[in-house]
Amino acid sequence: MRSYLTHATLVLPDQTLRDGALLLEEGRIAAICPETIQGHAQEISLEGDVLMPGLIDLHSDAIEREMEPRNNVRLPNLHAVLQGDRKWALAGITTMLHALTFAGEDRGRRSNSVMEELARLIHAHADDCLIENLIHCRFEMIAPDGLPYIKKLIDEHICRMVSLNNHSPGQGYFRDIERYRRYLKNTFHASEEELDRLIAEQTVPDEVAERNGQELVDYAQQADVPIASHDDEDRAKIERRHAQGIRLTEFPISLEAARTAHELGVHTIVGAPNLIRGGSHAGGVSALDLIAEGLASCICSDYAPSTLLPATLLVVEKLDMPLHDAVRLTTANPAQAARLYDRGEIRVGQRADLISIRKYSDMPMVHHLWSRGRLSLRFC
Amino acid sequence: MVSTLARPTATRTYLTNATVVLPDRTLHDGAVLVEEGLITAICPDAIHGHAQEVDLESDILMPGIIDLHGDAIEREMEPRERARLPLPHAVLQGDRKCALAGITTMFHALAFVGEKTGKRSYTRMTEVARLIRARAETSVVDNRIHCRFEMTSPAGMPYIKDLIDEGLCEMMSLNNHSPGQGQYRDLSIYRQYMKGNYNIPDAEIDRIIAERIKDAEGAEGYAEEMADYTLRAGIPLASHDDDDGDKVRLRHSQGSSISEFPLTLDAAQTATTLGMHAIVGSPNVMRGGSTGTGASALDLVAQGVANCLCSDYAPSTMLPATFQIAHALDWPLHRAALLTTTNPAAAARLQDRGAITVGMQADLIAVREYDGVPAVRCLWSRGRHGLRFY
Repeated sequence: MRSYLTHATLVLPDQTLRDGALLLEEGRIAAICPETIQGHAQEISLEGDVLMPGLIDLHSDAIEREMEPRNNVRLPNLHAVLQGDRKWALAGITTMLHALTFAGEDRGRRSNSVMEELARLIHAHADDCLIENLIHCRFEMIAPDGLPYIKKLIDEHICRMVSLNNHSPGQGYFRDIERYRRYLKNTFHASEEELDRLIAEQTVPDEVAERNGQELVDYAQQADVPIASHDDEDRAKIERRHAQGIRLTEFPISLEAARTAHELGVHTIVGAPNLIRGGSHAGGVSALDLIAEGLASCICSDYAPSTLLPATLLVVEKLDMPLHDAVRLTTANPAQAARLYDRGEIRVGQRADLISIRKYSDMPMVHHLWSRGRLSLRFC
Repeated sequence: MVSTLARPTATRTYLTNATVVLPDRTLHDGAVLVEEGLITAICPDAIHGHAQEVDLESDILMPGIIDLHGDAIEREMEPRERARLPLPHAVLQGDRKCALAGITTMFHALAFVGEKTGKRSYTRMTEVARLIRARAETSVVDNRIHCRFEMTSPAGMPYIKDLIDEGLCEMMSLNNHSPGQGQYRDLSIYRQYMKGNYNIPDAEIDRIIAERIKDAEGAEGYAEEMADYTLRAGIPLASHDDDDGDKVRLRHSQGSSISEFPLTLDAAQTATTLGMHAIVGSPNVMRGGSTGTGASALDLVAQGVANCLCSDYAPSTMLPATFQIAHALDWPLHRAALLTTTNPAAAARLQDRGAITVGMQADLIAVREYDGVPAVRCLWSRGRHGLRFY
């Protein structure tokens, strides 16, 4: 099966080329703007539309919304996996790392056993899916009973990325305890006494949480699984994670943390919804500011996959950045950060994970999507 | 040598090798000819002139789904609490996700709840309604507006009347979410809801309940006014969360022809006896229950006292629920498909769609089952090939 994509505005690693063409062969990019085509190939004229690498999303928990479209209304897992897959394709994502939270036992949809089952189901149905769905296990350092689950998934090569999360009150995202109280109150509808108990229960001494974290770091490193740290608040935290061998930080909370990461050559991920909304909904640092200062290298969808493509183009518009530079934030850079070296750029030999996009009343939309050279989705 | 993948602009499309879901039977190895946006032939003997052929590889070809009540656009507006996204983004994504779910006619159920209720505020909902209409040209599916009038929020009425006057509102429902009514008929459920969602102390809840009940005093008068305005404009009128037969009779006497989410068997039976359409939620069918204390959606369908499904808040459940009904009740697929196509078309008085018959608008979907889970592979909206998964 050979495809010849013509009349495309091609987003290459270092330039954007008008009226370009690509030849796809056996799931890979075989030629860029070839002079002649030998043998048969199916031509698709893109009529000037932008053709770029498929998006690579390193952190999205949107599958949870497919499982529970409304709180406590649970749909079957396989329904969630297959419907979700089509939605990610619609959003232009060709590689999705589902960020599954192993929060402990009896944590509703975020319970260890629920997440393990989901991870296995996603893995088992790879052939029924349009895009590549991979697993990113989020380890809660204050909930060590998630460790055996994650280790098992690493052993079976189902887990392709891990992250260290510390949602203990007083840490990272919840460094302000009052805010944690509000979160618990709204989420668990607990009384004041219950809140005190919950907070006490979840306040795990730093050294205990760090010991749990180190255990996972050692295990993941041995298995060559990329590790990210999450919600890092300052220079000291980034330095500590860097010393542990971690080269990726998700959602740094302060400018200082992002700056330190940049100095140390650590990849930094910010959230696309933050960009689209023009700021964090949780009071964090502005993602656009970090990108403008060159302190963020990757964008992920966080909880809203449909924002990843618009966020990429918003960077072009707001920062007057060339398209091929902005596109790196959602393609080549996340590929590199997750050590997925076979994708993320339009380059000969790379996987033919591609999207063509078109604007509708200023909103970019996916028009075609190819996954491993196969046309998977077309809007007409 | 280069062959070209035909552009999907041909005005004649010939869909072959399909399992065709007709109103009264399912046809294997069938074919449908689509011309100028309409279905012009079913299993024709010969095709004269050029038509673009699409081989459906035995996939199920059925009418596009018609959803009379879905508020999933709210989730596009706010994917996470307080994380609000721009409206043009929400409207465009909402349209594409309907297509993905096999819905070709979507009635977005917009709740006009109050001025300080965030995404459900009067001005916000009016803005969404206008934007949905303004973006019709670039939409894949037919997006329409269903205004939900809260009869205890009469300040919403002028906004809705404006939308009716402008021809934007194409379905109306009368809602009463006050304590002591409908899904909150049992006050303890309202209490639980307030405590669960807002964590309000009991004394405060008592005060709120008293206040809401007082607010609700003039509600029936407002309902009457809204119903009259709706009927004069020739718009289908629905009642929402009817708790019993008496409530259904009252609404029927006011001109309601649809009962959404009847809460009891009595309510659903009364609606059906009176010739009203009765709608249940497809998430409830999939989950095998009801979110409130209502009758099970599947039971109401099995007993023939619910004849339409709607997506409620999860568009992706309409198609699987259709298949699940066929499976659970041992019905042929064409019988179950009536619930999501022909019947809602009749309820919304859309005579041009909802069945694969000659002369109907070519709103069609091709469906394939993956491990028992049905998914849309192709969608045509008004004969136009809107979406295709390979």
